[in-house]
Amino acid sequence: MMTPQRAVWLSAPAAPLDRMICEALLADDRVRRVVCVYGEQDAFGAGQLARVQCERADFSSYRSLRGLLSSQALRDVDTVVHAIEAGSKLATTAESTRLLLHLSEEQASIKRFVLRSFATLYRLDSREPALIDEQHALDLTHVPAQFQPCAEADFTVCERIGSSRLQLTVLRCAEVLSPLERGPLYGYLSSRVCLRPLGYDPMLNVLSPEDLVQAIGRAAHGDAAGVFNIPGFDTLPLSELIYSAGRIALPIPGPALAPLYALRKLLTQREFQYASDQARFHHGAVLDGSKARHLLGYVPAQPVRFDQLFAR
Amino acid sequence: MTAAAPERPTNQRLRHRVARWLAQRLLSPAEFERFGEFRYEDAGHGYDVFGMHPDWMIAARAVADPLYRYYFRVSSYGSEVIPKMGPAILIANHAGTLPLDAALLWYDILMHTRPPRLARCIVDRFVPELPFVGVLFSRLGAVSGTRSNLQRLIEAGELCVIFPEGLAGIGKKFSQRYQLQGWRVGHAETALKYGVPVIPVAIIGSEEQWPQVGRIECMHPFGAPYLPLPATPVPLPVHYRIHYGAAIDLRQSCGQSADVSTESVERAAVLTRAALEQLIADGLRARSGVFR
Repeated sequence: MMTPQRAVWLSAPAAPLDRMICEALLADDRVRRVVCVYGEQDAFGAGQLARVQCERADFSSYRSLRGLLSSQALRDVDTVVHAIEAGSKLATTAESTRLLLHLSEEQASIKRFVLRSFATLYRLDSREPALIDEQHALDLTHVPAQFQPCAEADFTVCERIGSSRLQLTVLRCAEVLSPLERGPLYGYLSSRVCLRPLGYDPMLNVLSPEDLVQAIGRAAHGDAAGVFNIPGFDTLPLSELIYSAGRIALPIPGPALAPLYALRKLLTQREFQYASDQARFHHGAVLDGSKARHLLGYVPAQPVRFDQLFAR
Repeated sequence: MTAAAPERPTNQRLRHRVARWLAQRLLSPAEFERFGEFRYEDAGHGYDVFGMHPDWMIAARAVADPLYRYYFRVSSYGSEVIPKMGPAILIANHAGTLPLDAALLWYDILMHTRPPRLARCIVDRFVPELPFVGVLFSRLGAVSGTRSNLQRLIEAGELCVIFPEGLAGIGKKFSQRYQLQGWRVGHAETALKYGVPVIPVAIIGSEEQWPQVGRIECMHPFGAPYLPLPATPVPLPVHYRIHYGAAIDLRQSCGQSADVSTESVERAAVLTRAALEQLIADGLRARSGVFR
């Protein structure tokens, strides 16, 4: 039996995702322990697990991160997984990612750095390919606000691929559709009636938390470096997505959607903004996960639990 | 896929029932049974990654059948050259104001291949922007004509139908009928790069189906490049004749390997154009009349 050698630093998302990721990492025989690093003091969701050490750090502070990373207790860390969810208080800003990446490069024990990124960075246009591979053009002008810091973080790491001594992996994941991570689509589907553009029904791909965790685990334990698309099990048109979530779809002429949703945001304080995401509602596209399948062994296996999305 | 596919939501089951009911009413029992042999790569909810769904296909087939059999009385020649499996590129002349030629070719290939093969019509990039039309086309298997999309289809072993004339063909004047316009080379480049056979298809009848008296360039209904002005309110009931020519191995014909230099691509495109022109000429000579 292989003696566990590895220690993994996990910049942790909120519970229970952190617990799920820890369990996936610990499932590998080579991993001796996981260090979950949180930005909030009371966010220790994975603290009950064996072989998990919880720490707190100020991700915007060089000293805080360096102090923790270079501490005696963490000298054996050889893999860093930066898996913070978009829109969290501990947003994956370029600065915190840059700091962590820089410090990881300085720490001799660290060999591998994995960043969880987002497929919202890709450009969506009817004239672009329907299947998005890793070479696809990016578009920062229409990235929803909560993902802007993540886009910068993505570029920060990608810019170092090939020149860093670390094995850098960037996972551009489809949107996780789950109450555990309330992204734009979740916000869109939280209404009983979902407006969609009349005459359009784009294909979308959504990811379950289980498959996100699978992808992170494979990236952390694998040998391949680079950018990888992580699609989900569910590829379906917008109308089917709405129906599967138990909502009512109401087709509306496209130009009316942005003002209607802006008015709704004003009146109800709901977060979802149609204007910044409207390309996806007209000309969706599906992630091509061939590279992740070949090099990481990632195959989406768990459908989204639509019946539990808004279960009370 | 290792997990069980999710149970189909009620609206899909309803649509599935409606599509099958329609097909059972309008298709012969033999044809209806044949459609059960259709195979495709389901991305998990009944759709493929490009948005095609077999329920839409069976319904479209049922609706198109009377047009195919009775209105345009399509005659098909040489469809046995279409491979039973594996990729191929079919190139055809394009005309008739609206892409009825593509629809009837799509149907003809479904009818004359066993198991039924879906012809993935490669459409111009503005087509997905058209409301309703874009969705309908994608549900029936059409794919936007980007290099990346075509590569995916070829790698998946699909049949691709390309109209190298593009918009110039479908909008040509009546006086230019059966004269190939603006021959694009993308099909030749793809065929050379992936070693895929090219099958020329001459569609006789489409060029007279709906003559245009003119078009309004400054009007772009729903994003279309212009507004055509047809001579008649509906397409004429021309007798369609679809002639499939012998498959061309461009790598062999051009004496190249996977060379996709500009010169080799142009040479290959000249070859395919000449083959289609000859097929069209033969088809025109053989027909007894536009409507007979």
